[in-house]
Amino acid sequence: MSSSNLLKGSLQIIILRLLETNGRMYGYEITKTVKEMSGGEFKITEGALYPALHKLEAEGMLETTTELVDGRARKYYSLSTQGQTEIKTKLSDVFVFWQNLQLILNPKPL
Amino acid sequence: MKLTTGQLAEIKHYIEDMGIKYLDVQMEILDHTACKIEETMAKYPDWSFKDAFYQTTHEFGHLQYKEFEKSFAKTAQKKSVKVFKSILIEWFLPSKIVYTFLLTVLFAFVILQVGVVYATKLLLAIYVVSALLDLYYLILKYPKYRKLSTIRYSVATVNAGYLMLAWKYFIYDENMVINFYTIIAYATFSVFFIIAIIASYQTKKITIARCERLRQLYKISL
Repeated sequence: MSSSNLLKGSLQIIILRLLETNGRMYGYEITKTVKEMSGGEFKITEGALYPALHKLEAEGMLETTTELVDGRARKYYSLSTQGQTEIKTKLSDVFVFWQNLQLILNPKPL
Repeated sequence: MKLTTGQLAEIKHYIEDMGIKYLDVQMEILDHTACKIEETMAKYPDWSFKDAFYQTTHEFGHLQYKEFEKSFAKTAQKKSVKVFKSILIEWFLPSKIVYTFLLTVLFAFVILQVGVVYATKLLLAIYVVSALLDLYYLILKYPKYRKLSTIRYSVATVNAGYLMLAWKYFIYDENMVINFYTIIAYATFSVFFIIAIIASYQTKKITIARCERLRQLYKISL
């Protein structure tokens, strides 16, 4: 499986975590931040990012505001109250999953 | 380096030519593309706007634009239903439940006074008024705002329509014995139906207000 496939599966949690840390962000800012934080290893395509953002918005996890910036309208995404609660559960789920995955990938000798 | 109004207009036309219907989507793609072009031009100072524009749109690709639009349409529909449901639920929360109860009592009184047949006609009249209101939205408002996501607002109306059908086919029965319980059931469902119509109307109002704000931000004339 390529890293882009793995990234796609983790996209929602990445978005939620970034918004939890940074407050509010716009689409391009998210792709740029992920690229910078991963040293250029993770590249989120627009075709994956925006549907994920829209899905999270539809589920009530994100709220949006639109502002005029540099002569154009910019849509900012932020965590909703529901999103703030659910990010904690989702993060702990991910950590448990990682731990279990490690147990399988690096089994201790019997 | 920030893009000029003319350059932004050029991107806008390109996005429109790609066949993107919703202005909400056009707006988001415009900002994303403009950010990318600005970054490219800062990275390669000798590149012209045209070079950076070509590079950006080439990377984006036509399929990604379409994916973008599809996901947005689903969101718009879910949003409408969510707004509709939240308004509906409000009527059963402590702040409004008294009004719901009083309305139910009032309806029960009307049914007792005029009978089930006339009460049914009264509800039908309310439904006709709400349908005319929908027609007003569809003829006068919808064509103006269809590119601004209201394409999905009619969902709320459909919900009210379903309620009407449910009421007509599953509850209303000419041979039904009229007693205290059936009157309360009738009155309760009638009130729920009226609340659904109100919620449907309010959902449209909220969506139109949101569209109007977006229209002003995106600076388009209707």
